[in-house]
Amino acid sequence: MIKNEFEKLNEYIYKRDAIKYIDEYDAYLSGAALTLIIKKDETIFCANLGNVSAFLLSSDREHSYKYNIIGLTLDDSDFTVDALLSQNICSNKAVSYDLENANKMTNHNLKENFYNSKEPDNNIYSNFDIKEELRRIYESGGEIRKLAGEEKSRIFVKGKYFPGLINTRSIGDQIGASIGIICTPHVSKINFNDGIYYLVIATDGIINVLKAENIISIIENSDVYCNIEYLIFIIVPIESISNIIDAAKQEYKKSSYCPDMTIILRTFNKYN
Amino acid sequence: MGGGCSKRPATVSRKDFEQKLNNKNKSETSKGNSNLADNPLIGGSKYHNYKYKNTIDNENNLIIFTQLDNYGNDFFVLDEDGKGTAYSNIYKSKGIAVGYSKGYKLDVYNQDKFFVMIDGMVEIYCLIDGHGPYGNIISQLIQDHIFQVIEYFYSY
Repeated sequence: MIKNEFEKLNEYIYKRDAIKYIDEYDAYLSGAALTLIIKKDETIFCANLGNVSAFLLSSDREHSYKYNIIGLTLDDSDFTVDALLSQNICSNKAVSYDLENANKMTNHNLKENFYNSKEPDNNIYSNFDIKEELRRIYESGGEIRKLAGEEKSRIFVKGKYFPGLINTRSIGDQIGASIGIICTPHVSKINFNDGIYYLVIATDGIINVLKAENIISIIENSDVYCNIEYLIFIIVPIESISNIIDAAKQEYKKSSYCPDMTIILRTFNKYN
Repeated sequence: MGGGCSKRPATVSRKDFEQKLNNKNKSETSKGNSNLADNPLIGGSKYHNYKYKNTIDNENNLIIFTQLDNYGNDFFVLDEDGKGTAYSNIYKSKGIAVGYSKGYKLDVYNQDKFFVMIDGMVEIYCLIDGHGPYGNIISQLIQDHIFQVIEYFYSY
């Protein structure tokens, strides 16, 4: 299962062979969120840990160029405590499997299921359970609170001021692991058909200031695409990518702080 | 490979290409981090030798693309204020664009790392966002070792 693969990777980071030269305490406090996407034939598979968002913009060329948003990760800022508390989970989302909370999943080979079956097995289909996430953190000795002057809720060790994480799942967090932060990814899968698609993967630096709707309007105003039926067309979203980063930077100009921003855009249709 | 791959002409010579690269890189890897290469977790990876290398091989439909340095930039572009960076990497043949920008903050390093691999009909995208004092090192470790996870899906 992919869960085990992520755990192996997590353990490798814990060993810190490659990072022994740095201060141990700081290394314990460090971790990472990640999104891994595999596109094969007409299927997209997504494994997500923490607040790196991925979504698909799909447009049915025959009727209009209006884009629909299909969430591959849970929300714009999935797995952050605030998103879970508000339960603003994207309504039009891919078929999702929650590996941690679905009991029947443990003996099932996800890979087999992913590649061989078109319809999800009802037994293993499970929605992401917010109560389960919060219960795990409180039972492990963590707590969720806001620091003065901050809008975001964060996860702390009970009564302490560290580590201040915003995700309930991440990889490489050693102090986090002791308060219920796990490295089991949330997994989703989607099949696509005719039409034009944009695959967008972006870190929270961008998603915090630009919602999916903003990104659609930037893409619509930036790239001109070819409108010829049955032709293998290739669009390079050069304009879009620089416009999105510029727009995000503009939002941060008001404050003195600006986070790292990275975005991957991929345009495709059935044929390329 | 799966049945769907028959849409494109088979990439017969990919194995040969890998072998060539392996032989070519053997001398390079033996010089440097020998203890890393000996590690079964890393050394066992089929794509070990592509680490840190941006590869485009049109003939074999193989593209591997990652950030090269800790700053997350191949080179710096200063904006009007003289701070911050933005640079886009584009794959014209596949309709892919990656944009990244280091923020204005106390940390020196960019904590975001990405990884793109296209091998025929299979495409793999990974975006990693490190946090904490040494988030850049953690995300770098993941970028280097994400192959283990990918191989699980790739070996069908």
